[in-house]
Formats: sequence, C-alpha cells, structure tokens
Amino acid sequence: MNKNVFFAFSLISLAVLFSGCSSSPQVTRVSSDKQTDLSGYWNDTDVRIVSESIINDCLSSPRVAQFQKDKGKLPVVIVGTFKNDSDEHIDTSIITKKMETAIINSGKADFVASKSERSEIRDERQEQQSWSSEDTAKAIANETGADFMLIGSVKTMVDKAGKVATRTYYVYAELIDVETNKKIWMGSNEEIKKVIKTPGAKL
Amino acid sequence: MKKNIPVVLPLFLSLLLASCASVAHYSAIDNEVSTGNYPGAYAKVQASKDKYRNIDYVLYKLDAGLLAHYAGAWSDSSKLLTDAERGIESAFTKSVTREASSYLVNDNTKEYAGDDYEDVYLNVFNALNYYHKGSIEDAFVEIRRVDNKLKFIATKYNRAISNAQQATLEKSPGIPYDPEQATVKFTNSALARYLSMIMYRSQGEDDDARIDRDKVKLAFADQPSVYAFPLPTSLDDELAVPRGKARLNVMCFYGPAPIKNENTTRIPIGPGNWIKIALPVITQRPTAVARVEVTLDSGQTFTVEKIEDLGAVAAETFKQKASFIYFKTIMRSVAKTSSSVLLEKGAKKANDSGAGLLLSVLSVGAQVYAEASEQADLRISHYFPSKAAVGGITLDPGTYSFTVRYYNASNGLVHEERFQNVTVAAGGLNLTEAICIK
Repeated sequence: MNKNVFFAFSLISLAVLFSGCSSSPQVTRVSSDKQTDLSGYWNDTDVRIVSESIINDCLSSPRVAQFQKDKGKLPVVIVGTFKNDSDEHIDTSIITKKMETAIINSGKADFVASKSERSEIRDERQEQQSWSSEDTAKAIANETGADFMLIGSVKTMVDKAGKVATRTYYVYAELIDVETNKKIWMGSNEEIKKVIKTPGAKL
Repeated sequence: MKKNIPVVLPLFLSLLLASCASVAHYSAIDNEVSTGNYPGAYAKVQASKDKYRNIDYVLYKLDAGLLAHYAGAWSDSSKLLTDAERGIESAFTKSVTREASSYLVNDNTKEYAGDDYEDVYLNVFNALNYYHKGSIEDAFVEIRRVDNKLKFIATKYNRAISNAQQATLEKSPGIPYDPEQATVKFTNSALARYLSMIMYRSQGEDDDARIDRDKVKLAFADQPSVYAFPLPTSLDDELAVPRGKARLNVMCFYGPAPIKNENTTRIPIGPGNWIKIALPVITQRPTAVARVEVTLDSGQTFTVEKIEDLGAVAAETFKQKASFIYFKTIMRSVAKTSSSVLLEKGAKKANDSGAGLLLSVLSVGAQVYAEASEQADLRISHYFPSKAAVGGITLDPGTYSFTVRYYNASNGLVHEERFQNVTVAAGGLNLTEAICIK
C-alpha cells in the first residue's frame, strides 16, 4: 500500500473515531409539546394527553356547573389520593397539579390546600398567633371546608411476548361530595396504548 | 498464511483474555458477609467496582444493590437495583459484535444480562426497600413488576429454541438432551404474593389480601418442584388479626445464593481431536441454618417458616436458558474442533512437507484453542439469599424488643440478631427483616 494513501486513511480513521468522542453532553432544546418516546414508559407526553382530556371532561361536566347555580358559590375542591396502581413509579402529583391549575384558572371551582400542604400553613398560622400583630394575624379554625374531593388512580396493563410489549394506561379521576359521598363526576382516559418493539441487535 | 499467523494469534489471545471475568474480589466481600458485617461488605463491593468489566454492569449493580439492602442503605439499594433492572432490559438488545465473538470464543464475551431469577427477585428486594422508606405505593409497583415478569418468563425462550434445533440435539449421539429440562415450572412466587398480601392487609384491602393469600397456596400446590416443603402454618393467621390488635411480621433471608460451576464433557471424534462441551450448571451452596425462631423479651416465641427457596427457583428458571446455551455451546465447539480436523486432513493431503507440517501445527493449535477457549459462562450475582422465611404474631399495639435466632440441624445457634424497641401498630404493616447469609 502506498505510504501516503495509508497515512491519509489513518488520519481519516482517527478523525472519524474522535468525532464520536465528545466530552460534554449534547443538549438540544425542543418544544415542551414535542413527543419524545424513549423507553416506552410513562412520560411528559402521556401526562399532557391524559390531563387535557380529563380536565376538559371535568370542566364541561353539567353537575359541576349545576352546583354553582344551586349554591350560588363556586364549588371548593380538595385534592385527595391519586393512587399509582401501575407497574411504574409514576409521580401522580403532576396530573393532580395540572388538573388543579386548569380548574382554578377556568374560574369554575376553588381549591383548598390538600392534606399534605396544610400542615405547613397551620404551623404558620399558629406562629402568627404569638408573633404577628393583632390586626394581621390570621384567625385559627377559620379554614374553608371543601365541598368535593378529587381522587383518582393510574393503572397499567402489560402484555409481552418476545421483543414486543404493549403497555396500556388507564387513568381515572372522580369528584366526590365530601358531605354525602356522592360521586358528582367521573372521568377516565384509556387513550395511552404503546407498542414497544425492542431491537434484537445493536452494534 | 504464515504472514497471517502473527495477526490472528494475538486477536484470538486478546479475545480469550477479554473473556475472563475477575472473581478474586469476592473473597474479601464474602468474609464481611459471613461475619454479618453488611455495611463493610457494601463498602468493599463499592471499592471493587473496577474489578467488574463494563459488560458486567448488571452483575455489579445486583451485588452492590443486595449488599446495600442488607446494610440498611435503602435508597442506595433501590437505585442500584433499579439500575440493574434497566441494565437487564437494555441487554435484551444484543450487541452484534459481542454476540459474534461469543460464537467464536465463549459466552463470557457477552454483556451479562442477568438470570431470570435475579430479574424477578430484584423487584422483591426493591419492594422491601420502598417499604423501609415508607412508601407502600411504590412497594406495590415493584410487586406488580414481579407479576408481569413471571408471566413473561414462561414464553421467553420458546422462540429462541426452535423445534428443529431440539430435534437435532435429541438425535445427536453421545449428547444427552432432555426436553423435559427445557420446561420452566415457575410462574408464581409465594414470597412476592406473601409480601403483597401483608401490604394489602395493612391498607385495609382485605379482598386483595385474601386473593394473594390464595395465590401463595396455589404457588405451593402448582409448583411442587420449587416448593418441596410445607406451606407456612401462620399463613391463615395473617388475615385473622382481631380489630384493635397489631400483627408483627418477621421476614428472614438466609443461606448463600447458588453459584454456577462448569460441567465439562469431552467427546472424542478422532485421533487427537475431541469436542469439548463446557456448560454452566447451577450449584446450590449449603446453608448452616435449619430453622429460625423469634423470641420476644416478654417470653413469647414464634417460628419463622420457609416460604421460598430462591436457590431452587434459580435452578428452575435457568433450565430454559441452559437448553439454549447447550445448543449454542455444541454448535461453537463442533465448529472449533472441525477446523482442527480439516487442517489435519489438509496436512495429510499436502504434497509439500513444509506446508503439511504447518497445517499439522495449525491443527494442533486449533484444538488447543478449542480446549482453552471453551469455558462456561459462570457469571451470577453472589449475594441473593438462598432461602426466605416468614412468620408473625398478633400482639397488643406497643413497643417490643425481640431476638431472631438461627439454628442448625443439631439445634446449635448459628446466628442471632437483636431488634430493640420496634413499634407495632394496629392496622399498619409492622414488618421486620432479618438477614443471615450463612
């Protein structure tokens, strides 16, 4: 082999080799609504699809609208347990927070602090009794009681054979009347179904 | 051809050397494990991380994940075991180059993808990690993953071993093949069901708890080869806790995990030539523990009875994988030896004495290479327990101190573990875990 050709070939090979060895990660900013399915597990796209569908369902519920007409005030909602009954570690608080945000911003309901949030607020109120001025300290035992509790769950169904797996997500949400235990609204989303084909070979 | 020898020889030698997994670091960790110093063992495995090859990523995560669990480092263990699980999923996609080299050298050149039993039980230990961290919901997620994996195991290898391949093996003289050995009889884990049962009970979901209790019974009834011991007698008591009373549960893991040994067969096929078949076989390591007893400081005692033989499950679930390894090993070994035979035939036919001598030397070299390179893949995680035992006692809610004692067959004390001021609350899950990897 001609020495020059060999030298040129070696240089090209080294250049190709090192071009694949970057020391810093490559970051590309994408729109938050861009679909990025990497592993087949629950991701931001699923949260968006599920939340939008359930929120729309809830906001257009005639029974929720009827409450305001009957009582002359907005219904007050508290977020209860949104259970993860799936086979993945899903942070369900993202779904409930999205629902809370959308419902508050729609002006169709008010929310009160959930069980996990209110202890901090109660501590603050208690502190105010000792340390704040009389005219700014907030009264104790004056909390707003919720009319409805929002609860729900995420379940998965998995089927797998060889290199192909299907994952179907069932998301349920419901509003329950705190006083009567009546369910005034139920929503579900069963749109998320993924077929995951694992490649048999890689280099 | 002479010019190619210096190129080919280092290539094969490097492949051969790359196929050797280090095991020397295990003795120092084993010493810590045998004395019950699990934090020390966890520190040692972390210090030995560089002894694990890149392709043994899953092995390291499993070893470190289990030792972290025994050391009470729940968050570390959870992360390590989750990494191991992801690694196992990722290793499902085979590297073409590594797969090819495994057909040329041996299976040690492949990425370690974990055995089925490791994939199943890592979720059980992760469920316990989440329980100790206070998240029953996440513990349930892990139990559901066990269930999904067990459903999948039964169908996993059916596609890998075709009927034609099995027929070929059955007809091959001198190569024993037992189709029965390729049938896995493990689709339901009593340990996972038991854990699920007591978790459901703690959530007040009595129907689900009852369903899991029945599934524990079914696991024993349907899989006698894996559950060759009596059902724990306390099982029904778990769901008969009177209102206002509390149930203390103790789950013990004892005995060292099984290992893999090499089973070598040499089949002569002519003068100076033989097919070497080196297969991994699961070997159970003996445990000193014959029974486990819990004694409360109040004087009450209860036995902790075996619910799962993880070693037996390892052997059972390895059967299908073993039959695939068996077929591949024979193919590879026959190919290696055939090249030696062909070279020898070439040497005999050669008109030039120099060429004949070279071919003869190459023939011997090919046979030596076949002998040296045919090594079974003996990789398996080292720190799963071999047995799991469960027991419980119904008490008044309160704080209790107790001792878990492990006895050998002659009633000699093997090990004891003390638990001080354990809160036993009504309506919740009061599960204490005890470890004795002896």
